[in-house]
Amino acid sequence: MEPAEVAANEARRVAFARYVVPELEVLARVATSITRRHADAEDLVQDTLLRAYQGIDRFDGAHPRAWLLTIMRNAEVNRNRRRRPELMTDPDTELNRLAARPDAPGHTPEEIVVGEQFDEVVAAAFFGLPDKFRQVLELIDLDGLSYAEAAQILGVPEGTVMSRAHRARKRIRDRLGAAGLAPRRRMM
Amino acid sequence: MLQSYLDGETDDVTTGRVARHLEDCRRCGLELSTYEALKAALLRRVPVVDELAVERLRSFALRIVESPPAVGSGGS
Repeated sequence: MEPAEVAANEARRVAFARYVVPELEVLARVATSITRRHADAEDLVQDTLLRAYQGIDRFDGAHPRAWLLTIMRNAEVNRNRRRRPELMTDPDTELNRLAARPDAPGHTPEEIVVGEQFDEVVAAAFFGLPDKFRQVLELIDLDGLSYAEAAQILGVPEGTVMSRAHRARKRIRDRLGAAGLAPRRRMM
Repeated sequence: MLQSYLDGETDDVTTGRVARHLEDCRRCGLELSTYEALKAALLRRVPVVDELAVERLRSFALRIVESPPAVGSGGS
């Protein structure tokens, strides 16, 4: 191997260890959120790591997470293209349909009643959300991504991320209100 | 607005304005507490990541560092 090639390999290894390895756990969490299956998530992260290594020469060292999320986004788009031509319903319409369902009557507490039942209602409402809304909430609330980072991985505008996250939480929050675990909302 | 504030996504001016409003407005304070509790409940109830998978991925990353794959013209 030529000395220049040895040096290039060494530079790649150093950059990979410095910029990519520290983001591994975030990548695993995000991959789980966007694929929904642990096996798929692992494949996606492996694919992302390999692509990151291949492309690290062209990475300028600024914002490694954003760079890696873009790589993951591209890898996921490719995987989906190979597997299933998507037939998606519009998530906004889906959520409107769900939101139109009248809530069960409940009393109106003045305070939040946090406890086992609160957690159960939150979890049930969360898992009942349309995929794209649940996914955004997962990326923000569980994986700790910013709106911009979530927008990047999902390939949608930041405003879409914000609106989906807010509407998803409102939906869960309304369930809490209906179950008598939170004050009913009278404001915008 | 409250949710953006909760997520740390508001600019400094708005953050200050919301914080001042929250000092006086019980309804918004309660609303914020509800969203905070909701977020905490999600963290308690929803499994985030498979720890074993993270370990396997760490080994995978280590293998890349130790015996790097050939770099071609492809990649992203």
